[in-house]
Amino acid sequence: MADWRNTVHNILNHFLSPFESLNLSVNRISWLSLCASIIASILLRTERIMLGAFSIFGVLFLDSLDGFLARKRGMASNDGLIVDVACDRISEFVIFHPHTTWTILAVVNTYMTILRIRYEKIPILPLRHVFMVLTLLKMIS
Amino acid sequence: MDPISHIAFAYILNLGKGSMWLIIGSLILDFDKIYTYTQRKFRGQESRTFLSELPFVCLLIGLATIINKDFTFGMISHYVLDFLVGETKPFNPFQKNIVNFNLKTTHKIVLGAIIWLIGGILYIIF
Repeated sequence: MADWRNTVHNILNHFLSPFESLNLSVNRISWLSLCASIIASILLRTERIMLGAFSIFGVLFLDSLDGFLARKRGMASNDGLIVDVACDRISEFVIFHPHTTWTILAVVNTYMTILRIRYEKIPILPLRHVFMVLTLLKMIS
Repeated sequence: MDPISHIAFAYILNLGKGSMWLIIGSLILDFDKIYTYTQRKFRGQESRTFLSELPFVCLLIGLATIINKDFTFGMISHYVLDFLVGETKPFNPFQKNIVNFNLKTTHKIVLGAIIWLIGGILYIIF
């Protein structure tokens, strides 16, 4: 499990390293990712599926970027983690709200996150990643 | 944020489709203020109880999503606005960490005015 996480981190670090010198605070990036989810939600509800999926990709990118920058700047902390995971969970509710099943999954994920903050081994479901892929697949088919 | 801003924000994000459920949803999370205001706690996270935070709100959202989508969306938009603009303890009562993006008061006032304005324009159009 740890090896798998390290591999993902290494791949992400490779892609995110060009943004290392970005002059934005980590919390501001989390803030922006939540704003981007509002845009994604509006696009999806107005049937602009491709743009909506692209916006979710933007949300996920910003979400990865804040963690990456926090680690690079040596600012990774419990407070930062709380901001990051809270933005993620709220972002899920914003994106999923027209879909009952996804919203209930987001509720489950919120409680898993609360457990994760205390017990590191509890996984968090990558709901937005799956939702983005399924949205794209639905559009293609 | 004030109740009108919450209603207007929900109305804007719901793309100008208003309903009584949306209004109720966008206000219901402030009901704990009835208690905190009587305790003379008016500002920031001190005016919020755990009933306004994610662990309890997400349960409400889970129940509301079965009942009415507008009601659900009203609550989500309320929480989003409070989280983006104000001071919250998102995982209260499990974690007491305070989240504040430190927006200046003038920015908050301008944001509130913009929300009122866009909400008003949408209301006139639709």
